[in-house]
Amino acid sequence: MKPPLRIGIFFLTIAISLFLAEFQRANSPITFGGGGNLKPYEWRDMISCLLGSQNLRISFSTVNGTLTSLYLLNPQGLQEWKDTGTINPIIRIENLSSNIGIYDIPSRDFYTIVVHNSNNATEGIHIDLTLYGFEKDLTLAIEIITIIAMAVPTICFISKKVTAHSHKKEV
Amino acid sequence: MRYGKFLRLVLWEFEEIWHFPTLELIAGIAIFFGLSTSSTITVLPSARGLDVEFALSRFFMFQMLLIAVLFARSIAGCIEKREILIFFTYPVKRTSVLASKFLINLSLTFIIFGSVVIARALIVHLEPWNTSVLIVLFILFLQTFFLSTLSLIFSIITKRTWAAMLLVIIFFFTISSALSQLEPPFKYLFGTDPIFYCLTMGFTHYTFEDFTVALGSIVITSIVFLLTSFIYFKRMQVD
Repeated sequence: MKPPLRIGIFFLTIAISLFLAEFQRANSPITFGGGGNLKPYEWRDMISCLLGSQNLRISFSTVNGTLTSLYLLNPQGLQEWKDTGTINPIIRIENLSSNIGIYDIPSRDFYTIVVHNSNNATEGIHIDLTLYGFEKDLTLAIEIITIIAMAVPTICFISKKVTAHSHKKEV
Repeated sequence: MRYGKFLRLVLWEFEEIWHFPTLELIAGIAIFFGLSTSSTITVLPSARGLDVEFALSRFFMFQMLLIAVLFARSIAGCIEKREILIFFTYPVKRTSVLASKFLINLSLTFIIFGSVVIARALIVHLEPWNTSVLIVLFILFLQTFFLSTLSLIFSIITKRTWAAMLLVIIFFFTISSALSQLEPPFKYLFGTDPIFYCLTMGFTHYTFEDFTVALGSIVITSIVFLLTSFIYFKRMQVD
């Protein structure tokens, strides 16, 4: 087998096995969560986690049914909130007593869930998170590897043809 | 010039053993075994290091079978088919022939599985030069080196492909079941867990004695196997 073709097949095999691994990961959801009691008007960073660029199902409920807010912050957002108190979240769920929603995580990073009790009474909150679906960064890597797998033999084939053609012309 | 000959031996070995589709299949299976499980969501670096180390145990069986098959085909197969006699007629040292076979199989196996470990580390947001990742790579190297020397000695002694493969597998299972009956620190002979835990977390889970026994047994046995193989190969008679 010619080396460029073998390189192409090698990269294609890697892309296929990565896709199979990603498919397996996408269909193995990770479920985690947390909870606690929030004092009146309290802000609290409740859960810190490493999230892949997948779908995140956020389900939360309050014990007394009062309105509560939940924010998902990236590291920059968390730092900004700690330094200045300004909240600049990736996901914002405001003034709800309970909610179930599916959100898109933009990139693989560390995220923090900050909750805020906007009432003048103590409130208990419970959060359930499920991470599932295809990871965007892995999908991008598979696409790039597939392009390389296609490009290497094609470029070699074209350049060989061009060289042969120009050589023929010279003769 | 000497390096040129050695390089040619290495390339010959690569074309003979790692031909299409062997390399592709091995890389594909290693990627699937190492990356198909969901990764941790914890932010603790030590827990993310454990996630990377978990990849080693995920593909250990495959790695062992692969090394047994590769070395049996490469060395025992070469002796069995009497191809080794052709090598002996060339103006190269016997040790160079064996070293080329040993190095190409060891290094390619390590590169494939090491790449999977690094990919896993990137997925859990650890840089490849992070201490935990370097420790996992070090353990992977020890594991690959030990299995390679074990397969090498059995391949040379038996001179039969199937016998060498089966002996490595039988030896491994017999030793691991026998060791599990022992009391610490001898329980940890050839074990990699004490090395990882002691290097990353200190001597909290395992004692210094456990660490020394685990690391020492792997290193000393591998060196003894390697030297014995080379000495035996140098004096070996092929009918």
